[in-house]
Amino acid sequence: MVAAVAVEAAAGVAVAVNEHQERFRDRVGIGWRGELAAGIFANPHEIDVLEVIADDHYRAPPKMLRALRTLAAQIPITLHGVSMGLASTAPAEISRIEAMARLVDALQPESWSEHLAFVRAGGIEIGHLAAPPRTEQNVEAAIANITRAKNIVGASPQLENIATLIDPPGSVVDEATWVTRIISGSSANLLLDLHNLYANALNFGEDPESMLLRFPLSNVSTVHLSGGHWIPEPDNPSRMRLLDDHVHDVPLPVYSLLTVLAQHAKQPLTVILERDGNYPAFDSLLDQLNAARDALQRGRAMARLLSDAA
Amino acid sequence: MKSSALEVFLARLYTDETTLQHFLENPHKHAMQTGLDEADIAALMHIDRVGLRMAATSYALKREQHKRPRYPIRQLLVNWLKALSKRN
Repeated sequence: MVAAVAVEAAAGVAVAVNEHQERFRDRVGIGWRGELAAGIFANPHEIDVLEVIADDHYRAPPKMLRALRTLAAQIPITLHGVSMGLASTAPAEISRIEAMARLVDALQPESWSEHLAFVRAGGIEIGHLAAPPRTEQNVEAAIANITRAKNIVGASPQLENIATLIDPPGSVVDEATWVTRIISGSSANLLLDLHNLYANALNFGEDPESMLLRFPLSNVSTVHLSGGHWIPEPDNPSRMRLLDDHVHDVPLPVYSLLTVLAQHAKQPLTVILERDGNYPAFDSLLDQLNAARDALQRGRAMARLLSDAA
Repeated sequence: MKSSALEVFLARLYTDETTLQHFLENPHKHAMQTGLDEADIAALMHIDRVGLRMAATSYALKREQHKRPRYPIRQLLVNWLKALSKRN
């Protein structure tokens, strides 16, 4: 009887330790925005990591860099770039990579990241992240760009999949295959944006979970969560496509994808909630962070159950 | 297929409303005039036309957003100070 109680108690402790370790390993944070500063500083224990948009600070004066270093001393930061265009067939601009290198040197973030996108071509600035034609030539050029960036910055970027409203013409492989080839060829880690994946899957007639399972999940380090809204197709308003906009709450199916990811990926994950406007009360964002933690724990628990049963 | 040439042409379609309209009216004729190779032209004949228009609209909105000041109140203050200095 005493032994049984002891075993039960030990099991309880083990569960608590496991949960503690998982909370410790998997982290949940938010994108740093000035508008959210008050909420972030009021809730530092709810936020494990902050993601700072690098491009906002490439020309930051010393005073601003000092402020960011003070911030980084309180909550670990990562840097996120949006304008390098590393998945261009053309070489990425050295000046932009050097700007990232200077910022990384000044702030010593945990990591830095960029998008698998092209943002300019032939001297034309698109103004946002665009999906390039997924060709062999593009894969090779992207790997060369990533290698160049890694050599200049001194650390490999994490690479993020983007959302697109158009299936890029001339593509010879699907998105998951294209991402896998670049990640494999560059030895970089993947920043997996689950809302981008969800939007692309729905917009182009795929099942989001099936699509997720074709991504290189063992290379995922960081996860982005965000929201979007449906926009009607021109000439046929009854048909809609999902636009990733970062100004809406994370939809429930995206948390389900996070659970699936946590079930299949053994490595620790850092989850970042992205919000760029239409800011709700900070409590609502904290609720979304907690929903992400719950989704992670569900996935980890599922993996444990399956492992124990095997 | 030259991905680089196709990326340049896509960038033009995403940013130039006139080019986009001409292309949508007669994709083959317009693509032939761009000097793209046969494989690129064939790819453009099968382009997701709905997605192309939606993407171009989305990028145009993004470019407009970038033009707006990030902190309008600060911009208003700067404008007010400039106006004040001109008056003096």
